[in-house]
Amino acid sequence: MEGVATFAVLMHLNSINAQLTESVNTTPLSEISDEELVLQFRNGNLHSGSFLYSRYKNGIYSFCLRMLQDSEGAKDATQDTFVKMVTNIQSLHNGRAFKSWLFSVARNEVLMVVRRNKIVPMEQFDDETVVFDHSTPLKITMQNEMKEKIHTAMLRLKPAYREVYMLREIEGFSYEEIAVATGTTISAVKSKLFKSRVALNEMLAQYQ
Amino acid sequence: MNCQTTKEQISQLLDNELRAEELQPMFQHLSECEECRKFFLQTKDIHDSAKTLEYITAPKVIDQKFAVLGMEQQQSFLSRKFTISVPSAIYSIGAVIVLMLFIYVSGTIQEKQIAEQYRQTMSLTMPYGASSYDRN
Ligand SMILES: [Zn+2]
Repeated sequence: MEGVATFAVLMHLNSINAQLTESVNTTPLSEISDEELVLQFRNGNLHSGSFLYSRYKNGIYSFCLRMLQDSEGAKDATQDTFVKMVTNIQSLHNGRAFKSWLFSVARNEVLMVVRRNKIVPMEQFDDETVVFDHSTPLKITMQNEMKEKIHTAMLRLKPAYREVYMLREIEGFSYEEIAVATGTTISAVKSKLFKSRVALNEMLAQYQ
Repeated sequence: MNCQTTKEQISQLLDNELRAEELQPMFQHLSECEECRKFFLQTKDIHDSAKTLEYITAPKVIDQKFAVLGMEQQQSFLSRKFTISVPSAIYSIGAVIVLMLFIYVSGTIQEKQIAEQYRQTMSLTMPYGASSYDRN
């Protein structure tokens, strides 16, 4: 009788599965949370995987490009980030942490490109002693929009500060999410954000 | 409360990460310090604009690469599905065997019942029924 019961349970599970798939199909993908998409993707739903890709490709590319300031390098880092997303998705157990996980992958790929292509010296990426380079002039004019001025100034922040600042202001990450994505502590994030802001105030003071 | 601490708290306030109990002393200092008020306005101004920075669109070539990756993954997912289906196939076969066994057992019970009914009918219709015969 146990076999029959097992069989019945299996049949029941199948019907639940079908109901779930049906309910998912009626919800637009754009309204589905990362967590749900990750779960579906882990269970072999490639459609969910490609939706995660569409959701994050521009964010990841922008992050890589603003970190490397080299479009070829940014393209490679972005591609490799999504290769890692597909191949390592099974190792991500908490779908809610997907975004910070994906950016930590992207950050590693940026470092890989730096090491491989030697676009920027690696020391520049590790150096946390300087927030920005005072010697190079900021190439902006009064005619530039405030947003453009900020973008130019942000790119002058040293990588260790720029990544934290971008994850906060552009991606809207919490301190905890930034700490996860950049492999640091919350107090370090707090301090880096503060120093970045002081630096930006200094860089932009004459233009405000 | 000094200026350095207040400025750090302003940064946290803009990020919604300042603890509630720190609010009151921070505003108290702001009301008294011109320099920190200036810092607050300038920092908030840049923060508000920075939040509106747009994404740079990823080149199409990345889409193509991802599509190829998707096709490779589809194949690996299919092969993984096959391995997952092996234990469930064993379950199904087991279930069918148990079901057949159940039908067979209930069949023999039914046969016994028919035989019993036949015996009872025989003892009623025959004066020297099976019961007297059994005694011998
Ligand atoms: Zn002050």
